[in-house]
Amino acid sequence: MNEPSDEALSILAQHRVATSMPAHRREANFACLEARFAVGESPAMDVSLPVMSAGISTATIVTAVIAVAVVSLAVWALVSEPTVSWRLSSGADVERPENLEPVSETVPESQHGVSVPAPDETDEPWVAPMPLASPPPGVEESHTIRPPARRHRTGKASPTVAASDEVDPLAAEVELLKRAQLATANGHPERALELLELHEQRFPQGRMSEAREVARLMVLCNLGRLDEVEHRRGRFLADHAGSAHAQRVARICAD
Amino acid sequence: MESSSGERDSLTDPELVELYTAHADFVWRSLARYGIPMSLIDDGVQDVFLIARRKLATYDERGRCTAWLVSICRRVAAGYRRSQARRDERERDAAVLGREPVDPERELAMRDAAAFVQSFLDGLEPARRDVFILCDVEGLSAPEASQALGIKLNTVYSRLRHARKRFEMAIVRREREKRR
Repeated sequence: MNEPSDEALSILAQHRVATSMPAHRREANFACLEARFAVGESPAMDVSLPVMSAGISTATIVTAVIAVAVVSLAVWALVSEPTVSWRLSSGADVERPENLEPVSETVPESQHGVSVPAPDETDEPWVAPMPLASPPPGVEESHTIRPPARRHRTGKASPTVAASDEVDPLAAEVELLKRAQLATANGHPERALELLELHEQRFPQGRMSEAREVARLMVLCNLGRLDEVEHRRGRFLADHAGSAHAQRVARICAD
Repeated sequence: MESSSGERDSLTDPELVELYTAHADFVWRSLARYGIPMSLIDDGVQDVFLIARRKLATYDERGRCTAWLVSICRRVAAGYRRSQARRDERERDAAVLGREPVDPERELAMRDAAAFVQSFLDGLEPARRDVFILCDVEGLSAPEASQALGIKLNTVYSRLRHARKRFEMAIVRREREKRR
């Protein structure tokens, strides 16, 4: 085998560096990824993968899947009750059992106490890949929680799942952080800071508060506001010494 | 998410952090090479890691998972390409422009190298290009490339040999042109 020359290796190394992810997008992407992972969001482009785990053949897996399906079917046949029948049927001609409450599609703002303002033109283009449910009748879009896109391959979302998504404040947190990320990527850092500030006001102790601070530090760093970076970094490291973000935070604007 | 002590549980998933820290750049470059529009590459990167994290339990070969990630990147990129087929992809080359500036001379050299390699890759037959990228750009071994691409090891060696030969010839031509 002809090995690459030193010059070839050098050129390829430069190419690798030049085409790597920009640092600010690296951090913003992780904050967003973490948020999506936290809410169990499905990838926009889900894929089926070849099984690459060692020692398990495809035939073995197919056999196992079939076995599980057969056992599940048998168990279902033994224990199925009207409740199950109702769930599996179209529901049109079957009386609904008492223990299944209808799921309301309308979630008044006062019920969950969180809302996310409608995106403006600075980050709108980035929201495009997320198909969002239409707001319920009588509810303004700006007062509707827009959960992160959960894509169901069958196209039929479980009403129970949909309802629980709508009332989850974490979804609203994620939405704000995503829009901040998009604003940054679109060259609107000031808008990103506004959105991050909004996140802090609404979710001061939110589950994504650490991710928010990382994102804010990156934006401030890119704006050259180094004093603020230093100040906020010190506060973050003092408040979250054991955070998984600590190392990354320490590196922001450190060069 | 409150623990019994009242402290907020961390949402950070250690395996996700480990995966992302080790492979974020690789995934970004791979998606860019597989033609995902720059306007969607952030979503693509996140999708790759969401999928990888979700499927991590089924993956045993944790020591070197770039080959496995390649297969995810290829499929995710294909999905985005399909969904964006009608959209303008003018930003495709924005990866280089999007980086933070370094010192101007080094920046120029890197841009020059990046453009040269990209031009070479564009002119390479796709099958050889995939092998060349994985082995010589990303540093996978031939068996790992064989696994990632689902082709025979001997085929990898053959394609790599041809691609390397052409790359060395391209470098010679480039030097000749520089001297003129």
